[in-house]
Amino acid sequence: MSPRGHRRNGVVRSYTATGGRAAPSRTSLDEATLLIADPKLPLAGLQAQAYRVMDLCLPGVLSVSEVAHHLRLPGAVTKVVVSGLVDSGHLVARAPFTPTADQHDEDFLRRVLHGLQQL
Amino acid sequence: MIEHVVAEVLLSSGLAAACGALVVRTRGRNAAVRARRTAEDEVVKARIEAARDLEKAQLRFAQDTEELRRQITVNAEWYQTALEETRHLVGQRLPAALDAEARSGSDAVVPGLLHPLLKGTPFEELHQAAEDLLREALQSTRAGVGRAARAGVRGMADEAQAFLTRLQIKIDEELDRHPAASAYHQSLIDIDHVATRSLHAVQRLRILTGSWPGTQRADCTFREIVESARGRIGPYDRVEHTYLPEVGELFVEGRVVEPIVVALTELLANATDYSSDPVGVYVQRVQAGYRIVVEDTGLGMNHFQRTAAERMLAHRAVFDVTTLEDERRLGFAVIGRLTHDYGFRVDVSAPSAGGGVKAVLVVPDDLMSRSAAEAPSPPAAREAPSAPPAGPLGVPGVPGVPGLPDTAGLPDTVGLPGALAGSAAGAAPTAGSASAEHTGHPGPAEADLPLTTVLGLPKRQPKDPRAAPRPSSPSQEALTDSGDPAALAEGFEQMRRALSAGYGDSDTDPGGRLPS
Repeated sequence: MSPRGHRRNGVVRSYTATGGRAAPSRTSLDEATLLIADPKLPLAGLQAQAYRVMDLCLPGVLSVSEVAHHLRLPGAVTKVVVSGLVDSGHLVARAPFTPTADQHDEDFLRRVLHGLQQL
Repeated sequence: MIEHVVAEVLLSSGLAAACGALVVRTRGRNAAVRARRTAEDEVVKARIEAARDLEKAQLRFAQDTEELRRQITVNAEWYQTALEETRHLVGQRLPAALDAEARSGSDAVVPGLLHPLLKGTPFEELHQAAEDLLREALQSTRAGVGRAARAGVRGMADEAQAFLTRLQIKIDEELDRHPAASAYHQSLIDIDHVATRSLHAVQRLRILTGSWPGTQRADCTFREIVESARGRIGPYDRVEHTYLPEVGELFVEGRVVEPIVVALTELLANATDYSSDPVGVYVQRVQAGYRIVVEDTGLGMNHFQRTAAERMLAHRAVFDVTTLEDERRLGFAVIGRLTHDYGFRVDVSAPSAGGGVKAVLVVPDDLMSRSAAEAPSPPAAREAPSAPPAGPLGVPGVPGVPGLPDTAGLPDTVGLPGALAGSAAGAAPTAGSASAEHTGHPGPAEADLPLTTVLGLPKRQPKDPRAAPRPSSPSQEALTDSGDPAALAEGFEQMRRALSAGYGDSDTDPGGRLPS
């Protein structure tokens, strides 16, 4: 694929993915929320974008913002799609890892920084 | 006696003479009578002759008169005919020609000569010449006016389209700017629908004026094409898109994406306009390409409408303002122009099982994206870290391949799951045999990290964010706890490799990377 300045973002408009709704059914999702697909539930009957989300999440864990990137939809819109899937049990939403204690452990942060610098 | 004799002689001679004379006289008289008879005969003959001549002359005269009279009548008829023919030319023929020219493509019949009498005469030629002149004048005027009008419309459409496209981009930016959903988002989305429909209206207008759709897209999947078209009509929620991942994720060449979307939009608009029931859309593999089928359960088209639609679909001419007709046929005209220019096909003649219209848009194989077709080597193979399948879900180490054979060739779409799954697997404690290259940063942090499940994924967090307080600083994005700093370092290393493999050759824009 070579966009070469040609737009692919915005081909699909937000409201088609959400059926015109802008508010997600659950407010607990944010960009970093991790999504884990339940492989047991059938995908037939899902809307195209929701189906695609499931296809993206089935091989591994994805975050909401990654899903948004793949769908080429704004994050707020992706959340509507994703929360619908969470409601139907297709996806399990998991809050991203956060150390509950010692939140500002300097050494940990340093290691993160180091790891990032390696990228 | 003598006397007697003499007398006798005299008498006899006299008698003889008298007899002779009598004979002579009689003869003479006879001759005269005969002559007179002859003469009389002659006279009679002559008279008869004369009478006959007279008769002949009279006859000839009468004939001549008759001839002349006929000629006069014929001339009068000619005059009348020529007058009527000219009247017909001005009164019927030229207006009909005018009409036919003004509404090109209509079935207005232009009458020919009124009187067959004039066939082959100079009248026929001259009248034809007059009609031709009129047509020519009309055509050239129309062409000029049409060209100017189209250029004007195109210019305006260009401008409107540019603004509306910017509006769409702006709406997307705004939607992206504020992550939390709000009433503002709802308004934006509602505005977006109106903006998108306006954009489509502008596009169909410019296409009818002989222009291209005005937007060049990157290669897009069938899913995106159908969803995009769905979004451009009013009742998009009545369109039931049956998404099949094996065809839905195939890429169509960017050059034809927008034309196909516009044509499909017209088909969907037609289907939803003429039926209040749901309209089905699905993509199918066919002999030499793929087809997008739009099926409604409306009243369908009668023979006349179908013929008209097919004629519009086959119409290649550029339309101008004077040929714009009613809404339904206009849609087919838009499609007709696009199919002609871009090489896909649209067919509305197939019978629909539901009794409505079944419209089929065929995308031949040569309009499918080349890059998607000839890059079957899964990039997942090289980016997949040598990690065991991770997680309680049985997430495979090599993403994309088992569930998504169709996306295997698309680095853009599989790179991220691969990277993430890889890092998740790599950071898991199961990858115990860690290399020692990053052990220079040992730390006690792991002791403080939350507990993990037996299988190495973090314990489920409460879904309510209030229950799981998050730091105000950017959240650390480790997927799992690591019991071992070396494993953590190894995890980072694997993530780095996976990311560079995932992003290395793709042109993904930096906007959608991992949350960091």
